[in-house]
Amino acid sequence: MAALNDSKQRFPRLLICEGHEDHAFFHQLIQVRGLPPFHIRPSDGNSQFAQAIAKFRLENTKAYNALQNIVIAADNDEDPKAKFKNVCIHIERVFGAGTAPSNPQEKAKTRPYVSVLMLPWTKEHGHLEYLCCDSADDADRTAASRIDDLLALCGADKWTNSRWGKAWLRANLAIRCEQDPFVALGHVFSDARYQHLIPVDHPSLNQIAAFLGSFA
Amino acid sequence: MKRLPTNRAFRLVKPQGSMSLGYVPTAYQMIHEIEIANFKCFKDLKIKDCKRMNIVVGDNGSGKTALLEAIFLALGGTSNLPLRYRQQRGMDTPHMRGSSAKLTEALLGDLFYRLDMTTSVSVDLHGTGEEARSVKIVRNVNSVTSATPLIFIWKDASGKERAVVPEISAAKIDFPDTGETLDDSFFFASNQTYSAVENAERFSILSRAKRQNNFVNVFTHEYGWIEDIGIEVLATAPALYASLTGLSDKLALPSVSGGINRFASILVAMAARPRSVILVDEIENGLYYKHHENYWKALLNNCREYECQLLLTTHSAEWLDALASAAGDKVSDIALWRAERGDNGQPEIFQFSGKTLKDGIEGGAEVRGGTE
Repeated sequence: MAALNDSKQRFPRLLICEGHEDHAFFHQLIQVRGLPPFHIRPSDGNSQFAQAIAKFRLENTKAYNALQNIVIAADNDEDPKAKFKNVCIHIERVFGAGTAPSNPQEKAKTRPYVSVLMLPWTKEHGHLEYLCCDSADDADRTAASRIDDLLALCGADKWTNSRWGKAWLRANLAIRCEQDPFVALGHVFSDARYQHLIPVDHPSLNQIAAFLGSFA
Repeated sequence: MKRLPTNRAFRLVKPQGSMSLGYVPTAYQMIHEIEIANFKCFKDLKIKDCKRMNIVVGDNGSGKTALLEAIFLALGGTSNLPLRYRQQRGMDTPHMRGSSAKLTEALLGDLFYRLDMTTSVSVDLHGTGEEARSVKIVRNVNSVTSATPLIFIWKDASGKERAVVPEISAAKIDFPDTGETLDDSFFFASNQTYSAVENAERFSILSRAKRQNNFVNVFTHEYGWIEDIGIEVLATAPALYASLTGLSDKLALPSVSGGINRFASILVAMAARPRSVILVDEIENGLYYKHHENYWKALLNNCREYECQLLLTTHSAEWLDALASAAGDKVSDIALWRAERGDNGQPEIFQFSGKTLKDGIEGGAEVRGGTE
C-alpha cells in the first residue's frame, strides 16, 4: 500500500476524519478512484476536530498555509442533526463565530474553505461501517445472506442503523477474513491482503467519491 | 582591557522611587510589532500582533535568543549590551588586544547580519507606551578617529533620537549609554546567575507595599517544605532566604535550589516592576516537571496582574503541555512564535494564536515544529 504519511507533500486539501479507520478508508478510496490527493488526518474522535486542525496547522504550517479546502468527515450515528451541529461548533472554534456552513457539503465562509461530509451520507443514520456494508455484501453474497439470517435471529430488526451496521460488518469480516477474524477495519483498507473484503470501487461509495472529486 | 561587569540578570530600570510602591493597574501598554534588519541571523524580520505572553520555540540556531537580544537592545540605551550578550553566550572578553578595527570586529562584528559591518542594524519596536523604541547601529562616517567606528542611535517613543558613540581602542574601551530614564525591562538569559541583592531589592519593594504574599505563596504552596521566604542580611549583603521545615536556620534561596531561585527572580521582577517587558531565554531551565503547571499559572497571573509583557523561549514539550492546563480557556493574550530556517536558510517566525496552541497541544501536536 502507499504510505499514509504525506507530511512532505503540499496538497491544497486537508481531510479531517474521526479516527484511523476512516483515515485508511479515505486514503484507499482516493487512491483507487484516482481522486485529487488530500492530506488526511485522523482526530481522536468527534470531540477533537478543532484540535486536529490545530495539530495539522502547527506541525505542517507551510502545507496549512497552502490549503484551499478542508473537509471534515464525521459520522451521523443516530442523530445527523446533532452530529452536524457538533462539527459546526468545532469549525467556529477554529475560525470564529458565524463561520460554520448551514448544511453538510456546503463551503463555510472561512479561509481555507471548510466543508462537512457526514457519513454514511447527509441526513442518513449510521457511520463508516454502515457505509461499507453494501460493498461487503456484494463482494460475497452468500456470506452476506447468512449474516442477515444470523442478525435476524438475534432480533436485529429492532436495532438502530449504527448498532446493526457495526454488528453486520464485524460478523462479515470475521467470517470472510480467514487470516484474521478479528481484522481491524483500518487494515481492511490499508493491507493489500484484505482489500478485497470491502472494495472501494463499489457503486455505494460513488457519491462520497464524487464529493471528494469536486475539490480537484 | 577593561573587564566587563559580572554576568547577571541585567535590567533597564527607572531610578528607585520613580514608581509608587502600591501598584495601580492602568491600560495595557506593550510592544505590538517588531521589525529587525541586519541583526545577527536576521536579514529582515517583521513580527506583527505581539501578545501579552509570547512563547518562542524552534530548533537550535533558529534565532530565538537573537530575537530576545534584538528586543532588549532596542529597549535599552546602553551600548555595552552587545558585550553582555557575548558573556551570556559564553564568549568572555579578557585580554583582547589589537587595532581599533580588530577589536570592534571582535566585539561587535557578530551583531551584524553575516558579520557585514558595512550594513546598518536596526530594531524597531512599535507599541503603545515607552517601549515603542528603536535602535540603529551605523558606521560612523564622520569619525575623526578610527576608535569610534560605530554609532548607536536610539529613538524613543516621542521620536527623539539619542546617539551614543562607543570608543574602542587598545588604550580605551568605553561603551556609554544614552542617560535616559527608561521603563523597566529584564532579560533572563539561559545560563546566567542572578543577583541576590537585586532579588532582595525587588522583594523589598513588594514587602513594603505588603504585596509579597502572592509571591511567597507560589513557593510555599508548591513545595510543602518551604515555610516562608524573606530578606535576610548576612555580612551586609541582603538576599532572599527561605525557612525550611526541619532546619533551624534559614537558607539562602540559591542554596535551596538554582531552579527555584531563577523562577523567583523572574516572578519578583514582574511583581516589583509592573508594566515591564520580561525576556526569558529557556524558561524551563532548572524546573522540575511536576511544577510546570503551577509555575505557568504564576507567570500568567503575574503577567496579567502587573501588566507585564512576557517573551520567553523554551525547548520543553512538558513546559508547553503544562500551559494548556494552566491557561484554561483564557488564551487570547497568548501567542506561539516558532522560529524556523526557511528554504533559503533565513530565519522565519511563524505565529500562532493561543487558541491554536492550546488546541494543538490537546490534539497531541508537536508544537515545537520539526515535523514538516
